[in-house]
Amino acid sequence: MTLVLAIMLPLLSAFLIPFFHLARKTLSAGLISIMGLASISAALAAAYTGWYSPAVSLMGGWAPDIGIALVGDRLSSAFLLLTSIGSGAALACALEKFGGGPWRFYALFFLLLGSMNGILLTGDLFNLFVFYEIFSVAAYLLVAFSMSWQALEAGLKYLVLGTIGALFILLGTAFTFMATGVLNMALLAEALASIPRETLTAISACLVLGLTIKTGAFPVHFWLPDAHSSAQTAVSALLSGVLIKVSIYALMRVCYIFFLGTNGTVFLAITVTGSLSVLGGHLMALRQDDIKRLLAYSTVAQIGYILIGIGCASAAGAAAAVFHAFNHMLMKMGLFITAGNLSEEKGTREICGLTGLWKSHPVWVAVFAVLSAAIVGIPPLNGFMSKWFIILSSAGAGTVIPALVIAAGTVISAAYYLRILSAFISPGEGSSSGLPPSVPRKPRRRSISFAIVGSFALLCLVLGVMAFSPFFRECFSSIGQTAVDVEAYVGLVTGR
Amino acid sequence: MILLSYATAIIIFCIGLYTIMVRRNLFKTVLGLALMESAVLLIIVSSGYIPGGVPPIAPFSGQAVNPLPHAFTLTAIVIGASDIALALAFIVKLHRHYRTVDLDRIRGLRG
Amino acid sequence: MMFDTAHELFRIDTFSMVMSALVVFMTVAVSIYSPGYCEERTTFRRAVFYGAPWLFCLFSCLGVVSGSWFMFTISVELSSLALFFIILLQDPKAARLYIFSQLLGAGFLLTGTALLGALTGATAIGPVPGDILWLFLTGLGFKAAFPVLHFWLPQVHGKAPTPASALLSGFAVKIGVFGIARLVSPDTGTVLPFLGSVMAIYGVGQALLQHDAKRLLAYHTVSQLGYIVTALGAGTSLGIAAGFFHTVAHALFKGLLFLSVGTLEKVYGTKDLDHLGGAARELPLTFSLFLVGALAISGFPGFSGYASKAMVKAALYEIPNPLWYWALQAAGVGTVISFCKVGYFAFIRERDPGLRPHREHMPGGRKDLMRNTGMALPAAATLTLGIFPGFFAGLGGLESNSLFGMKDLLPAAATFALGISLFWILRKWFGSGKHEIPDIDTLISKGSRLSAPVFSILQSMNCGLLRFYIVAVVAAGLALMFLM
Repeated sequence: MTLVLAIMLPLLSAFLIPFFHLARKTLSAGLISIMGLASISAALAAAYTGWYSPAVSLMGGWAPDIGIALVGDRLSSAFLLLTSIGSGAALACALEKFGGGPWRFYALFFLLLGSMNGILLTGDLFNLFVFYEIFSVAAYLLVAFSMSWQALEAGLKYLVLGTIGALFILLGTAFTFMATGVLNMALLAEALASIPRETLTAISACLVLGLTIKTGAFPVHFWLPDAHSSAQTAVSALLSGVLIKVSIYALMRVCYIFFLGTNGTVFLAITVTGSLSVLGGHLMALRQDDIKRLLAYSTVAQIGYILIGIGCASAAGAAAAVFHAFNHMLMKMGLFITAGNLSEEKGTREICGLTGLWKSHPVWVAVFAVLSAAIVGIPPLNGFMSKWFIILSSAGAGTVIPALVIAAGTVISAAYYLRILSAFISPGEGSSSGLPPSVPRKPRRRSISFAIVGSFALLCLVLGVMAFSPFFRECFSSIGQTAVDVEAYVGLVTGR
Repeated sequence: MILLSYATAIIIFCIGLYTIMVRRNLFKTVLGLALMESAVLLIIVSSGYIPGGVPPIAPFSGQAVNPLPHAFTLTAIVIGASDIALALAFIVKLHRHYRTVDLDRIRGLRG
Repeated sequence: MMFDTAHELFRIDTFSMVMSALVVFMTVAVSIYSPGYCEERTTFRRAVFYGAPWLFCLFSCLGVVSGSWFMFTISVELSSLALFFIILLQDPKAARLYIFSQLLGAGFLLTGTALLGALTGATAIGPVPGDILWLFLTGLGFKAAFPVLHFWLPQVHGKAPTPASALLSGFAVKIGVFGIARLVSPDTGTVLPFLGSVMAIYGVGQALLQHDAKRLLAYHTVSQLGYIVTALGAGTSLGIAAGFFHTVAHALFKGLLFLSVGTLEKVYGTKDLDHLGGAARELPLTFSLFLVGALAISGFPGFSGYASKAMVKAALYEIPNPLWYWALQAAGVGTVISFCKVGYFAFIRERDPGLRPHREHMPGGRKDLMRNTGMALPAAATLTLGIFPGFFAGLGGLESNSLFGMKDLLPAAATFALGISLFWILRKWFGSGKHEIPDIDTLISKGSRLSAPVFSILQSMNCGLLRFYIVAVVAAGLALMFLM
């Protein structure tokens, strides 16, 4: 029941918002907060259910082979927790910045939230595709929401490349259905073992390509820098922090359930893509002048780390990937919100223009420093611990090159984050630079954003230290084990 | 299996692929996407065909073709339509800024 | 459970305790010296200047008592971070070079540790299997200034604030050597003596050509580390003990030397040997402290350097190949020459008349008192260890008298005689103009221009052309099909 609620409540909110707008011209921020809280609590309830007693919910009572099943196990609940925290933070920042005014924004936001929960909870391949498309359409619109030409161009490119990805997923789904006749993921796990080799290759190529396009790995990442840098601050944070992780979840689910026993080269391909993403993302970030574009390329690189973790095809790798996904959500959302606020203060997004911030906003710069130390990988912060787990798991899979790539990536990321920090700390030109301000700017209330960013930075520290504790490692190990345990998943759905 | 149907679908897919890779007009890119989508849907529908089957509309006599692909196709058509509609809306708004739909000119975001 | 490999949290033996005591001692000396050197304006910067050495001390102590390679790497990374902040106060570019090289080394170490855990199931600190040895040596080599991997050392040690340089050359590089000491096994016996001898000769060679006093001292660090690494390469417990003795001795006298050059830098405002001079007359106390350090590093009997070098050579007798022994002897001659050079040009000969000493730093002031007190501590320790080397000799199983026998005194005297005479002959050549051989760091900065094509390829890929993106996607899809 909670699984259905987690999907239905946000969708319901999304459908109700236009009606509320018709009734009274401006929505109150309180109403949106209530809807947001309801949706997030439903998602957290579903996460809780899935953690302690993995649940299966059959829609309409139809059996798995002809109906749609919703499955909540530990992997889903970990990602549900991630999306809840991330979307809650983004909603809070958006409410603080816009108030209740832009009803279309909130309608899209709840649509996005509902479809994300749908992706995380579904147990059916075509249902995954449908929710994925709802999610993508909402994302395209949110990117282009500000209607500036950059946002529109970014939205268009995101749309075209995302639709190509969706086409490949659809093609893969079509081939799967043609080969096996079922679309339920658990039943497919058994059925895929007995189809011809070439069909399996075609299916895996299509599905992996389509899913990788959506995650923004290196050779197919081209939409990501534009989309994440041209969107508004709260949307960028949401994109880089949460949406990418949902795509990672979809990739993990599909690859682990379908290809773990049957097609091992999928994981090799994922590892190669991950390593290329790490290098490509970091190297491109070195050259950026725009701070948000730099953070977007940094996302490409961090996705590479997660892909290296997935490519290890082991429980340790899955656990490390999930841990890094969670940490990256915290770090990148904090970084984007801070960067967005600071660049609004200064009026520019160029790094060389963001000077003198240490004098005017020391606490923001300090928080940014903590977050960037975490994402570079300074012990004992959480970014270092998750990178260490990824290195451990890739060593456990026997390869040395991904680990060395990660080491090189650490140095390169240190280079560009240091550049940003030294720009912040360097004394800027005089605050008025000769021209008196024409209109005294009303200082905007930003305490909620600051509270969010500060708590994320604190969480980075806490998670990093907690990663040494056995309890914590036990949690993530169990997530990893659930991810790769295909028999348990099949047994859960089919009841055998 | 209907060979002709599959062959048509593949040809249409390749035409769509060619269009999006080569043509510079943004409208043609969107059309190419729509073509590729239609090709995939054609494959899906054709896969459910059973020779000598009747449409799966109750009441029917004899063996019905598989209705499941029909459901998928309908859903996918809706999704495709919304994607294309969104793309066209983007093109219209983008044209107001760029004054062109030439893809090689619409490259403000780069690097 | 995943992610857990067998190890103990701490491994405390004599060597760890000695190293901890050493770092605390050095930090105390540097902290006493710092008020005579620090000229930072704001409270925050002053706090960093005085506080960072203690953070460094804390993390280094954690590193030397750690029981697993993972804890060791984390502690070493954090200690480099502490030093990074203090170098940042004076020279951001050198600080960046430092933290990048250290992060890279830590990355190699982490990879090695992960593979060690995967191969053997345990990551306790100790010898590692031969096929992953290269990862550990590379990682530690960044810290311990192996050939080629030493590219950061001359620039960073030369440009850092002097107290930081003293700690860097004195202790930070020693942590790398400590890691190597833990690694010693029959596998290392082939490669370590070779690396060590190359370091010893190359370091001295470069040092002879330097005009910047601190850069000269930095190259000497490379050279002395070569001694230590060669001793460790002997593989025996005598070799390890000799390495430790020279580590401690070098930390003390190199710290002392750096601090004395720092005094010159503050009094005269320059480190350039072409312009300095005459300091013996004006700063007699500093000169005598400098002499203690210079005689120690050259191996004059009665100072710690002599005893430790004698022990190193005793360890080398056990290696059949005499090449390393003669390499170290040659390096010893070079050391004498270059310290004659520093002593002569900085202290004895006439100064460049345009250089005036700064009033507040002259003897009699508070700053000079702090500096000399800070320097007196390592000087006293050097003399003590030189006259009573019993503790360290005992670690290696030697009697302290055996270090003062004829077979060691004679080569030491010969080295001195040869060195001083060669210096006198070459004196004019040293004073005339700059003759420096560019080192790896210039190669790297030139090489960074070579990496431009990579960047331009990447940049042209993100060109903004949607058609190109689509073609790239299709190409990736085809590649994926072929891969599977």
